[in-house]
Amino acid sequence: MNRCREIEIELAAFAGGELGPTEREQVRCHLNECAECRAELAREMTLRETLGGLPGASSPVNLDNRIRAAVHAAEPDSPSLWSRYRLGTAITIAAAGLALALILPNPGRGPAPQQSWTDKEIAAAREEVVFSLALTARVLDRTQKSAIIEVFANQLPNSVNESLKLNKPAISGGNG
Amino acid sequence: MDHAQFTQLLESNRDRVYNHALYCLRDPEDAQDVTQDAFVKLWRNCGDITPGKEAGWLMRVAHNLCIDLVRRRRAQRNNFGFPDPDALERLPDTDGQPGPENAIHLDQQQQILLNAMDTLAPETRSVLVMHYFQEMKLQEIAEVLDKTVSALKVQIHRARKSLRLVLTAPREPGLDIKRETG
Repeated sequence: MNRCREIEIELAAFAGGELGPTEREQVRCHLNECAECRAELAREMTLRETLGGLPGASSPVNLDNRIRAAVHAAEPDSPSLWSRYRLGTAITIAAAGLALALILPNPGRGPAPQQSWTDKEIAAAREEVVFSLALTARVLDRTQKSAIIEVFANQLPNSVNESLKLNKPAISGGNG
Repeated sequence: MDHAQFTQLLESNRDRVYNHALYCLRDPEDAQDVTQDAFVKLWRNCGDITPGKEAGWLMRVAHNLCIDLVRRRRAQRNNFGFPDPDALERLPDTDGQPGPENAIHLDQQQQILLNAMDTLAPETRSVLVMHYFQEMKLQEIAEVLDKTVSALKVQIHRARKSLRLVLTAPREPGLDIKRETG
């Protein structure tokens, strides 16, 4: 009886081809003589075939995105987030700089080139850019706001400065 | 580990982890949760994992997460440590019916066997899924779970005996079937 138990314990490895030649031969010899262990081997084979034949399911299509989002959420200082933050700040500063270059007088650059716009058109364009900048500033986080203030110091129009200094949380994104 | 390496590991192991969890837990939503948690743990602990061993590490994490979840569910039913009457009750009622793995088709024998496996300890169920469904060698499972091959052989032997008992037991009220605890 103890021998049967020893053999039955080895049946999973026997059926899976994981026994060495000596052990395999010992199991085979016992099986030739023992109907009860042969029945147990049949049950082992049924278990193996039934579970081995289970169909593999494809993971849901949104699982990838879900995992990536969870990984980002779990690791706020991950390189990609930092890169995205730096890129966002750089773009914002560049956009602000471009807008300021267009709308602000710059005494060091000499007289403004001749252009055919009327004063009214310039005023309207300036108002539109300032409005856009102010709107952008509302969605920046605090660090980005500080960066813009630091770079452009007192060159900003009051309306932009006021928006940047608003101590409100960002509407979306960012760390502020 | 950079994002490219993580993406590669995600693509090559996602379905394997998901399927393992699906057949251990029999619930697609739980399987997704376990898969997600396993990969988040991979990202958090990537510095501690030996390069090239990530797949085995993921399987061990998935194994542990499944066990924890099954235990929590059983505890919620105030049934931890006792035979699960629901699993037995389901046997005749769901013969040939689609199981919780609703996105896949199981034949009647597979359905009955999976129902019977609900009576096993979650560790044992997970080992069976690894060995028979994932086709992992006993030596491989032993390394992943930090167990001996001998212990795994005994565990599978006991599981086979328990399943036979469950599958051949007459279904009568008060039937006392001892839960396999290996």
